[in-house]
Amino acid sequence: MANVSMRQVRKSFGATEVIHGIDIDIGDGEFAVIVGPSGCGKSTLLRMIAGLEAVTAGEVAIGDRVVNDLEPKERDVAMVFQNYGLYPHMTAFQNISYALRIARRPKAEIRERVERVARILGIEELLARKPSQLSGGQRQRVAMGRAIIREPDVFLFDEPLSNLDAKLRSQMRVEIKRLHDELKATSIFVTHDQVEAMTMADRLVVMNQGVIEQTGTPRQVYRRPGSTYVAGFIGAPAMNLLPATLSDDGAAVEGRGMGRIALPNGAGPDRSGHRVMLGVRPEHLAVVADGSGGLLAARLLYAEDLGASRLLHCAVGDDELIVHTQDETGDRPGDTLRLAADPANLHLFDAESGRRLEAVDGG
Amino acid sequence: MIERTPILNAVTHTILGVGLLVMCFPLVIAFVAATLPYEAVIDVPMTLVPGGELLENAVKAWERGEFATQGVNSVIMTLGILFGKIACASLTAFAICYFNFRFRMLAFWLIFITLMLPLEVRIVPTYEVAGNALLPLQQLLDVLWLTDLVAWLSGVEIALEWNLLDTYWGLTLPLFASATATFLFRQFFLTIPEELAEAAKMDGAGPLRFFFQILLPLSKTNIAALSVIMFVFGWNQYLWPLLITTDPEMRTLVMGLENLIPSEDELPEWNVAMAGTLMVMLPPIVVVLVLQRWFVRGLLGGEK
Repeated sequence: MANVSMRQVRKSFGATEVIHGIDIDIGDGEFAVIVGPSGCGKSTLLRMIAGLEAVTAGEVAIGDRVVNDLEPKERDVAMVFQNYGLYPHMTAFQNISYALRIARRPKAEIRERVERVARILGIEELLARKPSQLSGGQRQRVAMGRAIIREPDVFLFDEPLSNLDAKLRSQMRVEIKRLHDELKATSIFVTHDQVEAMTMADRLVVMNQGVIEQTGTPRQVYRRPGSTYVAGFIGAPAMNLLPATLSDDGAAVEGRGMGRIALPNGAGPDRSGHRVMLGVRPEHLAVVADGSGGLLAARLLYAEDLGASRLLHCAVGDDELIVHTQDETGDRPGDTLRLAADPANLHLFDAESGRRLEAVDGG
Repeated sequence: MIERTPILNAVTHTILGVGLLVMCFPLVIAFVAATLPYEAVIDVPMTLVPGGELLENAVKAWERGEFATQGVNSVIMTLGILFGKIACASLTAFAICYFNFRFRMLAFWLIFITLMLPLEVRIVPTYEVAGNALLPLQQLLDVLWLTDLVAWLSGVEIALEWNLLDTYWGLTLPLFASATATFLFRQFFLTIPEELAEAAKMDGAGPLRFFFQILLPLSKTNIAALSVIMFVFGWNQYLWPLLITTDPEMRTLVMGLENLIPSEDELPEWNVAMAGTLMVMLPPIVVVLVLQRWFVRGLLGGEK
């Protein structure tokens, strides 16, 4: 077991720098999820920890060892690949035991360890099969078995669930978490799926264009997104962002089609007239009766019925926003709705930098 | 195509039939001639009805052509070329595909260009090298003044020599390099997902272990297909063995056939010559028949 830390890590391919100086500390036994859109450098970061990619500058440490110049096999890490990376000509047993056979462990020990791992993963009866005779979910399990059997300090997962269908994916999500609770090894999981990120992480690392936008527990990141980017990326449907201006006293914002919205803490008079983005999550908006005040008026464009709830797509001036509601109102497209939200659930971001304005944090 | 075109069908079958006839007629002649007694084979025109003396002719050809020694030589040469080519080509392709070194693409293109230089074109320099396989090294030492240096220091003159003439090495070694095989291996290696190499790295497998335990087993069909081509290629070598061997003990079957061809002041025993030809043709045919399933699969690049 070990913690993983990166200090000012950079990575360039030729003249293009794709990772721009990253610092992370992942504690012993933590399940960290690195999330971001494709091309943000998250897989590259993982591969640098694995030793499959050289570090251009900075320092990667596992436990108390700096591993920059160590071969992958010397780092005591195991990796689960997106396309499983199973050896097609070997049976599941041979695939899982390959690392141990290379390490020349005694036959009896290998058999015993493979069987134990197979029991944990529920694949005892599949050990004699080749990868081509296994389904996607079964291959995934074999790939995990190959990682688990080495009892590594750190598990690395490179989008391991992206090739599975939706049902299997949510099942494997739970299973990987359960395994982590059992094995308690430090795990780093890379994904572009924010649901995976939210549900699995002890610690969430949101990346964008080679830098870390925000780290924290999923709850922290969801409650207090550090930037408009994170606000839009974490949570589905994405947070509504409306352009607005801070009032003269800094205690309220004003925007087209929304009138004056008072802020619980205010932003201070020094920011008066500042251009901001007002953020509010779809699930924090509610439709209220006419005349009972509310936050703003919006024109309903269309409604999506999800069964348990509905998504109302609305227009406020030129901007669109989404309301996630469980109310069964009889509204029709074209109707004007009054929308309300708890001021504590409002987020304010600088319009230019996109960073969160801390002074106005609610609750 | 799902079409019913009886006329077109008839035409295509006729063309096919004519083609088949053109291809097979010489073989039929050879076979018929091999079964005839001497008197029948010199008849003009020769009959196309097979006779009953195939075995006698074959035995005569076997003895006259010294097929016992030559057969052994042929098998050694063919298998030597086969293994040498596959070993060289797969290792070269491995280096080109999996290692990132300076001038990698240059190396690949140089190998690729040699496709245009068959043995016949470079036969004179190749012969010179075969006369002394260490000649290039010697010349390198000479150019670098190392020979002179050593001679001056110790009084010993360096004269490297490794004569390949009239040896099995001479028959096989100069034919080891194969751009075609290297290219085929490279194309196959490129289809193997990168994750496999990375997974092997994570599992602690070094490059050679990866090559032998993962790449080669996966290349099975590829190797089988290449073996067929290379077996036929090796077996049919004529010009090179002719050049490099003078000792009758080192001759190969294909060269031995020449002995059977009647010269001016001999009986024109074409029946014996043809029986010998049939025997020499047999091994490649057997190899092709046995391995053709693999051969097609390997060329199509199919798995399973």
